[in-house]
Amino acid sequence: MKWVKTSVAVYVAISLAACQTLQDHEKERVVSAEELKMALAGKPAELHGDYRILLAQGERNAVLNHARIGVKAFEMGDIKLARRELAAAADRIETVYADNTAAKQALGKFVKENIKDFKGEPYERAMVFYYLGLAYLAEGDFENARASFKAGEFQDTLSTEEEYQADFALLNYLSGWASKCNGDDELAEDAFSVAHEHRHTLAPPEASMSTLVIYESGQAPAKFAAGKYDEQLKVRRGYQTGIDEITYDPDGLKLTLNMAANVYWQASSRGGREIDTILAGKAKFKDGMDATGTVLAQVGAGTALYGAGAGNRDAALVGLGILVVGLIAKAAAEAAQPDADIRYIDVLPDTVTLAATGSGAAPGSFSGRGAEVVQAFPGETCGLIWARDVSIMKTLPVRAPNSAAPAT
Amino acid sequence: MMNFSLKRAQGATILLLAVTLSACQTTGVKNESGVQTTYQDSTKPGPATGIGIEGQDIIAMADAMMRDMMLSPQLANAAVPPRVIIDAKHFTNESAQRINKNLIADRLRVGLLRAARGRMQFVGREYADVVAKERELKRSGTVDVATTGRTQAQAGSDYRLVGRIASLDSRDTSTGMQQRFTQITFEMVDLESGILIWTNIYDFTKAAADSVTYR
Repeated sequence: MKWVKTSVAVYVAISLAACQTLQDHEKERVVSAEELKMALAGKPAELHGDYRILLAQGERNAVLNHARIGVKAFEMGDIKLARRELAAAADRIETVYADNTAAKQALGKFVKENIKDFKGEPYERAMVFYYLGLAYLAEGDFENARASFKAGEFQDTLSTEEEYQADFALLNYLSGWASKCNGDDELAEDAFSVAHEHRHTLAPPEASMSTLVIYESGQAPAKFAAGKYDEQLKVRRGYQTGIDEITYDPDGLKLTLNMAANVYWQASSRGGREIDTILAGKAKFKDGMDATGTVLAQVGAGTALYGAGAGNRDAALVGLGILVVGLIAKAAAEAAQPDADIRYIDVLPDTVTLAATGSGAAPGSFSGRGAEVVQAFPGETCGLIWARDVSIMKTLPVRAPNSAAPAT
Repeated sequence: MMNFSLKRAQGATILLLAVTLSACQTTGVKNESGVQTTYQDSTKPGPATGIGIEGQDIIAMADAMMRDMMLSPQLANAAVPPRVIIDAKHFTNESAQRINKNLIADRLRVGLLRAARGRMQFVGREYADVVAKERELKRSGTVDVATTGRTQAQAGSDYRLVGRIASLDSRDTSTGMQQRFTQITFEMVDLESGILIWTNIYDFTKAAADSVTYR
């Protein structure tokens, strides 16, 4: 009977992993009032909820939450805070995660992919550097702005589809703009030329132009899971305005802003991920174990019933044993977690349009849906006007989609 | 005997059922305890690394450049100690890495100043405003002349450090390897003639790959 006991123990162990729709790592921790008070000291009241989530979700979602706070701070015009938060996200993105414990666990059959620390897909990583670069531009630190845009462009090379690698024309253009503002004309020319190559609407600015107008619209691409076991990562387009050209009207000057980036396109054109093969393997394992378990459980139950009915103790025990093994296989199938990681940075826009102008950073109105948020950063050498059709501060919750469940 | 076995089988089944049901309960949060602060060796890679310039690179490059400058006759063996400016003002970052360039310039200046032992003089041009204010206070009689006396003007400089940080990134999508070649060029320019009297390059290439879960 020892083997029956052992089998039961194995079943119990696997059962503990099964049935949970949420794994431990998907739950937020309880943040003590004292810890929260320390963390919120000096932080804008509008972002207190976000900082609480940052603490509760920890390092696993640090990139996600720092990026969200950074973009929100940018919208508020708190550039120093935006830069600090976005740099915190960018530093983690640039850190090489080799031999990382959580990343190793994500490869296991019984742990979801989302146990790994979030770094985002290439389009999300690139957009973190985009906002970081904008923060540096707003501060007048053109060299670090350029470095950020270049680093963002490098993140885009992660695409497996060669024709879509490093095709983030927006970042090339901004790298050129940062160089222009820094007086590095040759570097600027090179970068503008690459931007124009990828997107013909992005013509190099004239030498006299010193203000960049950026208008963002729509909502971030949303990730969702598909497949029998949610093992496939898919992206759907968020809210879009459908307007490619925006007019900005400062001081009666009608400035046409051209499409510089379609974020959904960047999200949907990367090709497959290497991790997809591993998730498909987990799904296959789940299917295989479930089918095997069903057969064994049926055979075992039948044999046990026959033994019990016929008064054959040995047959009943053998049947029970097969039943237990079948249940273990079923439990293992249940415990397998092929779910794709569908956390995503929801503060990104759907599209980015831009134009350069010679006039100062004067306030003006935008065509189309208009702009709920406009931030102007005049600067000594170069000015930046950043606008967004809808305020993310007003529309988005403090918790990123699919990031973690509240502490209970 | 038969009844006994069946009873045990029944008991095992009930146990399995009970455990299965209890397994469906959530189990609470595992809070990470964090890591206590530890001192790391600044000359070696730390626990968080990437493919860009890191602390150990700055220390190594500043040390190498300082030693090489000390071998330059025009800098370290001139009959009259030359005045030099070493700051990050004209040190350009063209790379894909965000960096505080003062980390490099400060380390180099401090190392040189200590090693030169009077064979070079260092002009703190970035502090010119502070000096100008103090000179004004002295000349207006608000404060006295202090102990080292007056000079006609702030110190001019013979040479100034200029340079550039550049990088070249590449990635092999089939293996996930990412690579960055970083080249830091240091040059000392004669502020009267524009001639470069000393120049050197520090370069390195780093390559690494993220776990497959990030590719």
